[in-house]
Amino acid sequence: MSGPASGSSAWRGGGCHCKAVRFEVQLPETIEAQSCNCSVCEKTGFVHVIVPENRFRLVNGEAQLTAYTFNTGVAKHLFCSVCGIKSFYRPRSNPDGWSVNARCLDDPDSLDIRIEAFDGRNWEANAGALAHLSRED
Amino acid sequence: MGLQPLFTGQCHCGRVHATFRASTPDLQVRACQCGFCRRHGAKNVTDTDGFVEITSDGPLLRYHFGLMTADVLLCPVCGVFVGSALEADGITRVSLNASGLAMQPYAGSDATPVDYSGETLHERLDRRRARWTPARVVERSPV
Repeated sequence: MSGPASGSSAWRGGGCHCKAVRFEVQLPETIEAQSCNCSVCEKTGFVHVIVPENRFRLVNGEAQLTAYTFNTGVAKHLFCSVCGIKSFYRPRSNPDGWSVNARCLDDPDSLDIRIEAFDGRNWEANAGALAHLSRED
Repeated sequence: MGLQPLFTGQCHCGRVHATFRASTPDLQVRACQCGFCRRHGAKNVTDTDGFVEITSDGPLLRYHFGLMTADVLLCPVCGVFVGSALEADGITRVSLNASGLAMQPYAGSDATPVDYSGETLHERLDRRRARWTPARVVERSPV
């Protein structure tokens, strides 16, 4: 299975709508993403690009982030307190990494993003398949 | 009135609820292609002959951008995009985000991409007056 660092990688920018929150993330040319059907991902429209800890950096906006937690409280759902956009967060499936919202990458139409369905409604049975995404190769 | 179908939904944490009395269940579901709606994966649904009630326990988070003609309504606790509201001719009108509310059947429907980026201010207001749903937005004070 290929990890997030396969292929030639580059740092790409992204962020929320009002531009208070800005991040950079190191991504390969072909970007693997997961569209999850769980209750929170459906409502926020979040499309996951999961990366190891050191392939993500928050450039701006820490003070604007609001954290929302539910259920086990492990996932830290972070959204901009001005525009509500959840541009990245700390996922329960990969607490050692970050999940960036593919919808919040700059100029997403110019990127090669391959979106696969993830059955988050049956999270316990499926989350293990994502664990490798936050590990360095 | 004949406003038969009643659809309901709420944000993730349950602080914001919406009910939607539609004049017909066969409404177009639209995916606005602006940078805000795309980031939320929004599916917008409106019915000029329907009625919406949005109830929030405490104040909503309101965001403005672009031509600044509408209040974007967000849950301040979970960040979910509930819909957009404007006042026109003394009437509140809203466009709901069926995705954010998980309001079926619209949340699960295919959405038609729409691009309003070329509109003037007057075109935007006219379209919203003609299409958006009359509404009441209630922000309850904490007891």
